[in-house]
Amino acid sequence: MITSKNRIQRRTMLRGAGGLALGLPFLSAMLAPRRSHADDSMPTRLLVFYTPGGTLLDRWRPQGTAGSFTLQPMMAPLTPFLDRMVFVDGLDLSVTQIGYGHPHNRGMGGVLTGQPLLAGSFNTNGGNAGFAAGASIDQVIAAKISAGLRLPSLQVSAGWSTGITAGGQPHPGNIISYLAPKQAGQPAIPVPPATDPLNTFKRVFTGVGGDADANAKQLAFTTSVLDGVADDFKRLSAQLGAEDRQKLEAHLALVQEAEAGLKQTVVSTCKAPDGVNQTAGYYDDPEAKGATKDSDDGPAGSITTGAKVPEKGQIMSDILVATLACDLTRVASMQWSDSEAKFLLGFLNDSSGASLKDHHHGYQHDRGFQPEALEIIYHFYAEKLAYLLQKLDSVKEGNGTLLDNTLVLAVSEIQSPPDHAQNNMPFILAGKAGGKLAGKRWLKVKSQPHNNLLVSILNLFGVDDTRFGHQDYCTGALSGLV
Amino acid sequence: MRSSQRQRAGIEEISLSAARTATWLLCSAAAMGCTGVINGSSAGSGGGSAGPASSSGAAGVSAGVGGSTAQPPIDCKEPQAGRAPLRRLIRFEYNNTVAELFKISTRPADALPGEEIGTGFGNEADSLGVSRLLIDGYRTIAEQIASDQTTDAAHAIAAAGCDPAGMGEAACSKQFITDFLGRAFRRPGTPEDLTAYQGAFDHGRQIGGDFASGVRAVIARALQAPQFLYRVELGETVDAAKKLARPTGYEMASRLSYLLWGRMPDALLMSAAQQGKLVTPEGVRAEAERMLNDDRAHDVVRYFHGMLLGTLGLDHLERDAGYYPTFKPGMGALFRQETEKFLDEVVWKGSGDLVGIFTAPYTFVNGPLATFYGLPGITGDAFQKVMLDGSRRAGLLTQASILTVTTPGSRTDPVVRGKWVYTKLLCGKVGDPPANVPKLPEPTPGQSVRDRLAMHRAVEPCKSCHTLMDPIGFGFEHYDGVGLWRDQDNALPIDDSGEIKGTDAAGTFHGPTELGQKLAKSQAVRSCFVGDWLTFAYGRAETPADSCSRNKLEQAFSASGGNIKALLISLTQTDAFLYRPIVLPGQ
Repeated sequence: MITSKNRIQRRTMLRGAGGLALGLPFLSAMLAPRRSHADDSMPTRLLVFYTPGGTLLDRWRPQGTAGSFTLQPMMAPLTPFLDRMVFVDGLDLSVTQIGYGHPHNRGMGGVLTGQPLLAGSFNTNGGNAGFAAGASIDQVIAAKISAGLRLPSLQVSAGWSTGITAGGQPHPGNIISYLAPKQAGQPAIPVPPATDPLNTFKRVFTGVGGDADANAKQLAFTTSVLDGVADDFKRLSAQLGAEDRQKLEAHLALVQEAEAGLKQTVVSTCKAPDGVNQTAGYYDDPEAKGATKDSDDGPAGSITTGAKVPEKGQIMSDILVATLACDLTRVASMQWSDSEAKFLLGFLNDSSGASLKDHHHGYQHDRGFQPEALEIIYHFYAEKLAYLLQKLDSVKEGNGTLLDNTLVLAVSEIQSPPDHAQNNMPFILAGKAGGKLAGKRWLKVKSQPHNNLLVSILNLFGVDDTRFGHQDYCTGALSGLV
Repeated sequence: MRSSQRQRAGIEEISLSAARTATWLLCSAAAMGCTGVINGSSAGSGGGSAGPASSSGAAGVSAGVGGSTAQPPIDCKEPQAGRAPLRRLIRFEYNNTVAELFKISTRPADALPGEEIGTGFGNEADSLGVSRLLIDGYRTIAEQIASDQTTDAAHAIAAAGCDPAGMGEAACSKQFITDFLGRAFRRPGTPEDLTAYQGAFDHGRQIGGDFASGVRAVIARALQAPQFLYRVELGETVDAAKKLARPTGYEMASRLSYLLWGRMPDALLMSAAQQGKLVTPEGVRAEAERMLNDDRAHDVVRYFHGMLLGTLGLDHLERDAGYYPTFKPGMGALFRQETEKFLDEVVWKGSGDLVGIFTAPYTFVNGPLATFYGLPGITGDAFQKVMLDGSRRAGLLTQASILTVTTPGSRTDPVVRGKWVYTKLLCGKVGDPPANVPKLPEPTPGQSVRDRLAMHRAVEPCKSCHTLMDPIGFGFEHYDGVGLWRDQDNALPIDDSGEIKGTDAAGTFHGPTELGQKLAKSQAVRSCFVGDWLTFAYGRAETPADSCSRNKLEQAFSASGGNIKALLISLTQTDAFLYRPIVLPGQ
């Protein structure tokens, strides 16, 4: 799975404060005001890696002692990166004891927010629920370190909304990232992931990757149009009543944020990722056989085969790494799927070589708990995490790599597949977080709420809070991590 | 207002479950129990009644009037405009609109993030938010369409509708901008618009170096402009003292076209607006009647029912092959299409009324679906109308779509089916059960589903809600989790007797065919259906000010014998549709 085919060019332009290749305008316009730490040569990034349905804890756990251990076969693809990994073993997703919705949904809502799901109208197969009660750490960190870049943060997914909702509506079972609510007590604002690689590519790499003249023309065109759009919003807002005006102003603020982001100078060596198929609809997952469509059918396919999921996941990973390498954002998430992950897994084979017939949730408990199949699934996700780490590590920055300057946080929404247990959660940290995190550790903790880990991660990014999320489920930063 | 209500309930719920008191016996928190009083209707009050609906304090009420504070009596002799919050095009409307505007069928808005579901239709103005993903999606779609329209000089000339070589670029660009904005903004461009977009054209031309680039810039900007993405209404003052206005003629053309066609107005509507024909109820009605004779009206009715009934989600339907060996992945889409074609037939060609929806003795199947149902003699992938004998199947309620939408797992669940009928069709209110209610235990041998659920109906606080839901659901027990007929469950013969409590449909029945006959005659069902259409049509939750509009709708709907086309016409004749609050900048 690990390939060097799409290896990203060395980022000589991003060599840091003493970087000879940096032109002066670039330095003065871009890097200086954007450094998160004046002493560091490179910014630290946060990359969340979400995979659905927990793990097999007894095969996830390293073997050996906290200081000297090896990985079991299921997790073995990660062995090359052990020196830059911390297995955080034993935290509880305690906040899921309260609030609304099915455990899958509570876990999604709580894993990055430390908050419960509020009441709401979404059917979760475990009572109705709404969105989470507060912001997620990635969005809090983005506001601190990513403001003014092309994107405050970038969320992508490879297998979104295949099971739970009609038409791809944001749903508590799908969303892990949230912006703070506009008013205390209201639900937080969901930040949904992008699901189509081509659209994401066009969105992120506008005016990047062509020749300089074409880039300049494209950006001039796009920003000029956005400038005009902003004028249209202002002209119209002035004529409307207060309530409607607020709506247009919220929209306008995002148009202006987008335009300002596009006006940021992009390092001239920034290279858009190769290999994004430019045919519209190419990445749509084909329907499972047996579905009949007729001319007046909408776009909603039938059950998806999942056949495009591995390819989509890989190109989305490439897009994320290129986005971080180009410093178009400093906060991103790779969400492999929604929580129930109901795409078929025919792209995986069992030990006899036969392809898997069911979807992840089927092996989890719909058709009984089937650990042999689940090990194949979790092994696949370990490979995908290893792929992402390898891609990050292939980008040279300063004296190290992009991986050294990133904190990768691997999460799931539950621990135990058959019963949705949410204690002893399988958290993994990878990358050096700009040198602030020592690797090759198996940090065993007992009966602590995972909100404590969220506090520690905030602290790593210079957010000095001592509590985060629901206050009843947070006792302070996780000791021994940093 | 509704969200704050939920929010309050949410706080109570969290503290309750934090104490870990919930067991499955604790079916329903006392604060969210059921009164059994269905009061979504103000029918028969003849106007002048104090606020309709939902003063009983049930949580999550669809009428959403925000608690039970006393409202002054409303005088229906004076126009009651109600709220008219700014509405953003939903993806369904965006796709239809660009299809008209550019003659394309690419459905580009499918790439946008989904709408917040709000009142249930995904079109509630107050619920629809904006995100960077959405705004960036608008940009990439607009740039793509603009680029596709101007791939070369010939395309650009076609898009502009004039040839700069013939009439000169200045004149041609001016003509294009005037024509295009008039359609994209659904009203003639203002002088400020025209000046601004001439600037956009000139700047685009300067950057790209040709006429096509100017055209491209105009299209890309217009498709991201609020005049396109939102249904802006400035209104014309009717009575300043009463803060009453009505939509301008062009704004009314948009109200009509998005309500009845889910898309931008056609040339005839624009012309009617221009001639001042859309400022009277009669003029509006005349256009509405014309529009309902056009097939474009079918799309909206189909979308409405898909959202209301939940059948749009059926394409992803899965069932355990161990329970249901004849169900194959993909059949959920067939279930959905059966219901869509059935409703199309009833509404547009059949009796056109609720009686037809609940009792029509026909349905639509293709070969695979007929085989699944055990209907002989139907082959091929095309759907065809088949007559039913009416004993086991008739009307909507015996279709596999409804029977599966109301079965969340492998086993039938009378609670869910009963709740669906009680809340969706009768507009009854049922509070959420508390968090952490475990699933029911598996049935023991020889235990009927009635026995298995007996505790629900015996013990408070379960009882107050479950006596309203479960007995309706029991009536569906002859149909399994994929909608197929069965004679036994858990080795016991099926008892399909059911009962509705607490409405004008109250009484016992056997099976959903009898249930359908009861519902077809029920004023409570008609009233509920009116409320759904009102919420959908006006893109917002119902408020007390709508009581006059609702009365008028219910009276007209009943007078027409529950005719849906008549209801659609009536929706254009209410105060809520014909008027709006006056627009005072900044207030």
